[in-house]
Amino acid sequence: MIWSIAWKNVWRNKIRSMVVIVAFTVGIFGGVYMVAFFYGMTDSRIKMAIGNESSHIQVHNPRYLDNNELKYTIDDSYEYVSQIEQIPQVKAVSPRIKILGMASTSGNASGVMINGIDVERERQVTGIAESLVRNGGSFFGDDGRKPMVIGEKLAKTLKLTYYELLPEDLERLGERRKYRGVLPLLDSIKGETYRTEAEFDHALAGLFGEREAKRLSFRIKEEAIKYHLKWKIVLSFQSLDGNIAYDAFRVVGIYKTGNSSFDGMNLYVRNEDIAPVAGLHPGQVNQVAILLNSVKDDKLVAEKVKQIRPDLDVQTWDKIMPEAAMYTEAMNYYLLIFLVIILLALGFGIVNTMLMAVLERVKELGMLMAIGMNKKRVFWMIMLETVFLGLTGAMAGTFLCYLLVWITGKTGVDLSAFYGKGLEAFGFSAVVYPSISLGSFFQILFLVILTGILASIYPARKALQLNPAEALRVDM
Amino acid sequence: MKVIEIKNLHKTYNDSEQLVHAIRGIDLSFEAGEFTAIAGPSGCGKTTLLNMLGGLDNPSEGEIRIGGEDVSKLKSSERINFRLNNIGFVFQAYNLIPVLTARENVEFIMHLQGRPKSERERRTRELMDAVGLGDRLDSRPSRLSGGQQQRVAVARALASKPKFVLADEPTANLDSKATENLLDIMEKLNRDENITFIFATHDARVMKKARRVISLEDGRVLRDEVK
Repeated sequence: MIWSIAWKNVWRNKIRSMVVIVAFTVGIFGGVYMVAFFYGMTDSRIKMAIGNESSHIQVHNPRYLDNNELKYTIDDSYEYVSQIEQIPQVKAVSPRIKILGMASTSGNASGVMINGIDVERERQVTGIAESLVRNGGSFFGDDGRKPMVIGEKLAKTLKLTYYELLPEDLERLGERRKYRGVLPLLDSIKGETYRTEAEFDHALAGLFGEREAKRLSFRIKEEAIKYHLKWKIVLSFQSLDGNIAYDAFRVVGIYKTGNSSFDGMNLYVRNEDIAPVAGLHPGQVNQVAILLNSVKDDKLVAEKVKQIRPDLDVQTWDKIMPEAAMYTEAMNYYLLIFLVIILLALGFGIVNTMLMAVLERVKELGMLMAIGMNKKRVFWMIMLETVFLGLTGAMAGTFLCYLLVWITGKTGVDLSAFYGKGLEAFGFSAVVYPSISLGSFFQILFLVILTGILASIYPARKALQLNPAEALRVDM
Repeated sequence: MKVIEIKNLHKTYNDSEQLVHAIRGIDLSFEAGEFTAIAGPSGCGKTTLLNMLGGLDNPSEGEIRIGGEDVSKLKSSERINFRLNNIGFVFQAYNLIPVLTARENVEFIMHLQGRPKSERERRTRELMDAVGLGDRLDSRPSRLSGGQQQRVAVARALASKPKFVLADEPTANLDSKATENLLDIMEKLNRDENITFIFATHDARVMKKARRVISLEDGRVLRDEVK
């Protein structure tokens, strides 16, 4: 009965209670959605990093890690790889030659990481093969002589890109309502070729004016960018014997992972093409990357891999990319800090409301104590009222948040128009899929109840200090 | 059988740094089944006396025995329980719980006593019939007239099966018809079920009905008449 009285008391002053409830709803919704958003961001960052960059486990010659020197290799990798492939939790294994070197074209030069790969195995370990851009060729599809796949960012640096709007590009842009209005303007530069991004930007600014061009250019450039495939790039690096080795490769594919610094650094050539240039024997590699069926088994498999050849260094993904593992952990703390700040503010709102509720009910509380409601019950009633007040808002906020996370978790939140470039520079995808675990929801619920209880203590104590005889005399 | 015995009762308190002698030595006793009014002008100490009879306030001196037990010696938590099980209250401003229906208001006190649901429901119905509101069980106080609210308050006061009922100016906010009606109901309950009523009042209509009138003045008993 005290529960029902407390609940009914919440609704005595509907407007006042609704103000607190709405504050709670908005506060919890905002805080939790924000966290879900960042969770989604880091989650996809980690998935992307594992999928394209680190894999779950990497094996190196222990000395290779010191300075990434070509000469510290894993020998006889053929047998080693097939041994690893026999571990049941392992999905795929890719042996790689890794050489720090220089890529140059007539236009520019850039420091790069040359990845000498076994094409079929690499295809199964990383998502690079699926990350080729439109008009970006293929992943070692038509090999020809000495093919090479490079990142879009590197292609831009090496001036392998140009901008041209083709009729089909305009058609795709027209599918988005935002761009329908500017199509006639864009039509005027159809077929024109611009050698650099700056030139194209300039042309767009000329068409729409600076500000409008800024707003629209990200997507337009995505459609307009084209690549000079088949162009030659010269790779130079220090070979095993200490001399500088050169060789020319032809670009057959351009990929884009969403982490532009990775894309600017990493290029892929075939193992068999690079090994002779570097002076490596067949089977000599610098790195073996291992993809698992489930990230849960990472430590277990690492242990098994270590047993095969104890002389090699085995690292799991969280050691390879400590920053990525840290994101997840940091997010948990952010969630907590966010919530504590929000709840603290809301808690004071509750204290205020409940104090008003207690003080305007002095006479009624006095009566209750007079007829025999003991202090424990009065305290309990006020506390329940407070908790109900907070919990109602929190439930509404959580529900709203859950709904929006569910919807945007499917559709994604596209930030590319605002600062997609900035995000991708840090390795974050421009489309964010918010996500939050059920555990976090329960954590929030617990914190809200705790806030309610803490916030109720002061008003409830105030109620207990009433003397029933005096409380009854108050004229209301 | 004596329900209440008061011996040498004194009450002083500080009212804005002035010592007020509200009660200056009262000796009284009340028998079961009384229908008694404590009367006097305002400031004579009626409410103070009633508060002490109800265990809401402690005497400065003297003792109050209810059913043989010295109430002033009880700890505050014990006193709440004592009130719950021994004393029924009717207040001037009705003081029903506004969010509860009439039925729930009456049931509430039995809930505090921990009585089983079936008993609560049966007794609520009986009492609401007795005060003539058997058809208004599910009305909220705001939907009832002042007289009806006060009748619910009487039903509530009786719900806990108290040794006696204290009513502080129960008719002060009622018109004469509602007063008549309320007094008739209380008188009937007093007569038929031997329930002890003690009023603090300066309402002549109440004093007329009362079978014993104790007049106070300046914290002392001026007259104690039994009709």
